[in-house]
Amino acid sequence: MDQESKPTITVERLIALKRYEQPPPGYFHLLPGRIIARIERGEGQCNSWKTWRLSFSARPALAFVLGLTVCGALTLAVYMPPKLVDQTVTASELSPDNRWAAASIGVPATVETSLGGAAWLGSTNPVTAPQTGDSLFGTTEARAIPVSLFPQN
Amino acid sequence: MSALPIQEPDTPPEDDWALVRRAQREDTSAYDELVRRYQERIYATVYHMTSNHEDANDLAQDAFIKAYRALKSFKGDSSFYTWIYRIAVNKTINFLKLRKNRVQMSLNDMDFNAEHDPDLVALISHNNPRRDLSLAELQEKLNAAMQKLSEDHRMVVVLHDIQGLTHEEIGAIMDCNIGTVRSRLFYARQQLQAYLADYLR
Repeated sequence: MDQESKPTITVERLIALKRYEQPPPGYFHLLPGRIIARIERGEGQCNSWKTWRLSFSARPALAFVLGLTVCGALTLAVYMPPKLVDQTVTASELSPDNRWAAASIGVPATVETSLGGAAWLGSTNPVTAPQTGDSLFGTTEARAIPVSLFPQN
Repeated sequence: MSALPIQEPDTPPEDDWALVRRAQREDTSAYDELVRRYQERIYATVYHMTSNHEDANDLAQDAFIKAYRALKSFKGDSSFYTWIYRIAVNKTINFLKLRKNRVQMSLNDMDFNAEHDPDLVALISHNNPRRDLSLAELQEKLNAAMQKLSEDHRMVVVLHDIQGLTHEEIGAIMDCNIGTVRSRLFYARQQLQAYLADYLR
């Protein structure tokens, strides 16, 4: 093969030949109209969920770190349940209002809650005993306020 | 009676910044004009990165739509041209990272002017030992070689060697310094030289 007859061409000039690749005729005539139509249809409006999803799919490391954090939090939640308190409420411990409320709804004088005599700290049961021990919100006292549907005269 | 002002036939085109300000007030006709100005360059950049017309069409449209939605935050720190390029480049690189290893070429036809290009004439000439090389084959080889480069290296080649942008413009678009642009270009050309050795001797 004759070396002289081979064309001398640099890589830049060879790559520059790609400039001749053109989309189908009329493509650039239609493109602006398509874009404006999509804008007027409200496409591309900010959607935070979609943005999150896209940012995670583009950054797998970020998704991995978030996944790990969530798993860690769940594991902690499973192995370190919230503090429970033994709770047996006797009639004598109830305030007069609570005693009235207990009697009116037929609750026995001694109330033992489920879960082996324990009640959740955040229980909304009006007949539970006041919370013992330290609390972020100070000492609480359970009270039931009798209400009447009839006008008082 | 005062006459209505007559618009001169060769009125200079409205500058980008004026169009941007109108588009920021949700004037879609102004944005339409901006799209017409930059569509070819944006489309070409995305097309040469993906080697796929359908992907380039979707990405170019998405880039312009995203730019319109973000236009209110555009303060004019850079030119609109650099800003829209940056959006298209980031969108394309993100797309390519997701698409990894699924290269499916859908190439555009070569413009008929290609036949008169001296480099192409030299490559496909009958006096050439590679006279069996067809235009389509060359196009496929070029695109396949481009797809072997990393996204960042390919982008520098596209912006410099195909689009003709300066190193400074590329640095502004890709958010890197000129030294990085130069070194990426040097490395990318070396790689391409190895892939396309048959056509370069």
